[in-house]
Amino acid sequence: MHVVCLQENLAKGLSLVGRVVSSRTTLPVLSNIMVKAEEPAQIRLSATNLDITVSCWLAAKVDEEGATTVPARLFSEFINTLPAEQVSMSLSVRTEQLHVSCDRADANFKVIDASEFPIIPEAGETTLQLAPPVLRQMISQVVFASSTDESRPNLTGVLLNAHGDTLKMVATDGYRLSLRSTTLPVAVAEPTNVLIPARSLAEVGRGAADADDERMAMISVTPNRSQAIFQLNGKEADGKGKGSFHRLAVVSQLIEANFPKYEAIIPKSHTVRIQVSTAEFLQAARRAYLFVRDSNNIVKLSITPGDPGRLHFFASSQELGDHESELDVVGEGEAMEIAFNVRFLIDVLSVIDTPEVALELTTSNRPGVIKPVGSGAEGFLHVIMPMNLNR
Amino acid sequence: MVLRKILHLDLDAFFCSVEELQNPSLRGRPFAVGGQPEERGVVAACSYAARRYGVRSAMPMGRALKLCPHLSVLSPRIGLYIEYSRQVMAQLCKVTPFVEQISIDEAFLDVTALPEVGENIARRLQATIRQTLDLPCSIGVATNKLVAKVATDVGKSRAVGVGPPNAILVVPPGQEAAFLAALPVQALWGVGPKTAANLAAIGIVTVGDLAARSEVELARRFGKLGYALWHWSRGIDDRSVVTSHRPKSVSKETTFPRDVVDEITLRSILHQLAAAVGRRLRRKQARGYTVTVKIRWPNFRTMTRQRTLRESTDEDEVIFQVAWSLFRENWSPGQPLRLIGVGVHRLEQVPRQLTLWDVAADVEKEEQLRRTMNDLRQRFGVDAVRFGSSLTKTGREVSEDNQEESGSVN
Repeated sequence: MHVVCLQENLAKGLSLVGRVVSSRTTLPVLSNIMVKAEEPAQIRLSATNLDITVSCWLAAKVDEEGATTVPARLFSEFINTLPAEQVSMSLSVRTEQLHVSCDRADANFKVIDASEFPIIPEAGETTLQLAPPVLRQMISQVVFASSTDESRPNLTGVLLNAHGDTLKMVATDGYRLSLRSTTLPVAVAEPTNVLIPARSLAEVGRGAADADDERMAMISVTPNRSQAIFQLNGKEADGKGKGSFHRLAVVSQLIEANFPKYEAIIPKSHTVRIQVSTAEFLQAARRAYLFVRDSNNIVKLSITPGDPGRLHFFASSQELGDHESELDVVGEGEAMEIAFNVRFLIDVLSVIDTPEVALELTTSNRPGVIKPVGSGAEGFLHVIMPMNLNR
Repeated sequence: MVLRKILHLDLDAFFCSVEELQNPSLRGRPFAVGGQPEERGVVAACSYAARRYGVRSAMPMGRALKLCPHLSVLSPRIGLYIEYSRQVMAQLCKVTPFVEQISIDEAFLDVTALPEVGENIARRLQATIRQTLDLPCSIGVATNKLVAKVATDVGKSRAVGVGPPNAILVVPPGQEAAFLAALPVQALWGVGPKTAANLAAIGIVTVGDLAARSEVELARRFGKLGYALWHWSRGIDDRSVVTSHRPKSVSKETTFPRDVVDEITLRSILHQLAAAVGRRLRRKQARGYTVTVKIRWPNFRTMTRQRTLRESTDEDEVIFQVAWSLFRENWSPGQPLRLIGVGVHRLEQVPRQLTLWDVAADVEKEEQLRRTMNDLRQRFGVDAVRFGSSLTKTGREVSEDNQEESGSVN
């Protein structure tokens, strides 16, 4: 194998695939990144933790095809220190080393043979297509609501449901639920209902940030329905020294568990509804968070409907002190008091990009609903369970 | 500070009104709900017709029958009253979420946030309860809980005629002190016969007398209560309407059918009691700082000892270890005991993140039932109501004297 590519592209590619590499693994090859020179002119970088495999294709001049694996951390950190010049890589089969040279720096990396690297499934038939900005926003709006508790595997995933021309993503950790739906540019032939690990979707979201927005992201499920594959196209090189890639693929195992029947959780009605500036609400929540982040994360909201009505925040900590603030809102319904985990409020308000947001409530121990308001408020809904103050 | 609008609602002769709904022929007749005279029962509630004979609630039934020989005595049907009470409270909750139920037939509502004047809200509420449940009620309207409650009582007492009072009395803002001034001190919520007697001893009979004294004097004579009295006498009360009470302590004790002397048995019982207290704390999402043990000897000598922890706890093992060491310090092997108990006091609430799968309504219902049962126990004695499952083989219940929800002054 002998191949030459640009340092910035290689660094970019390594940053996209490197995150899935586990530092603690019983299988040494899983600490490595696979580097494969493919005809006519690209390098494929792949990393896996067996649940998620991320592959990235970069432009390169391939003199000789071949593949090997190099220790992920050392290799990535080394490449990052190099100047934005051409990087040449050649594999010596005899010494089992990858020789890398750039400018006046040279290095030899011990490798593990590429044949030991897990086989990466190829993309099946494309099931659905989506514009990368939409995919990116959908992921950011739901992924945070999933659980990190491995003892409840069905909550660590995001439900991806496609039916006709509607795509829904749903995630819940049992305390809150995010639901985002969108209209697909092309209706799906068959309904799809799969549970994707939130971690995998987060990787997809990260990749989508660098994707070419003009070219559709492809999502497919392998024929045996055990894996989902997300494919994104990279942007053209902008010539400003920012790395670029051709293509990114995230292959994820699916979670074999039933997602809870979430429809029943979503409140159908409310007795109080307020509309408030998203930025002000978020700012007030962040301010309250300062006082409670080390204790119980509780913020008490008092709502006085009206036009203008008031939204009052109260946060207190035995050790630190307390804080109150108030916002003008437009609201209808009854006055009420309710307590939330302020972290949950910050999480959801951070992913809403409409200037105004609506908060709908029923009683102080029933779920509240947060929705974006106005144009661009397409199909997003967030349900938050309050804290029981047990007064 | 914003002027509050507080309503106090009291169902008129609640148990009797419910009985009349069940049996309309009772209407207008003197009857009482309560324990039978031969069982030394007391009057829990009496009809307005009975009141004309001088029958009053809490009076021994035997005496009531002497005053009114043709008085019909009905046994209380608690389940029925609970159900009606629940329906009334549900109506109140439609008006505002700020409803504080203080007994089976009484509640406060904070309607400050509603645009209408308090009197209109009260009238509508009274009409709604009459139309939907056919129950009469009286309502006091004021700027705080104290004055609202007194307003209800005064409204009821001013009613004329033979039926239920259906009173509505409004004390306008600024008129609180004037409204209270002529009333006897017992009219103040929180002033019992004992305090009244102490006040009378220094020449204070009416609330106006109380208001005329200085805060310092009252505080010196009555301590913390003195401050409260002084404020109350001026119609000042900033207690807020709270949607439910916090328990102040949780304890569990057991009386042995036969005195127990064996250390291993006592240790094991103490362990079970500690576990029961821990379980109850966790269920209430509370932790406490002080652990107590109660020991009673066969001669009824009773002792309670306590130890305060540095950090609050809800753990069975911690409670047990502290309780056991307190027990050992106060009990010598060989001494027979009649009763032991374990308690945890100085509770703090641990807020709980509800989950989307919590059936919140059920939690609420359970809480309401518990409160009502406690209320009935206070009225009829601990044996009046109990959960079916808490009866042991011998018909004896491990007694629970938790939730000392005394009306302490904030």
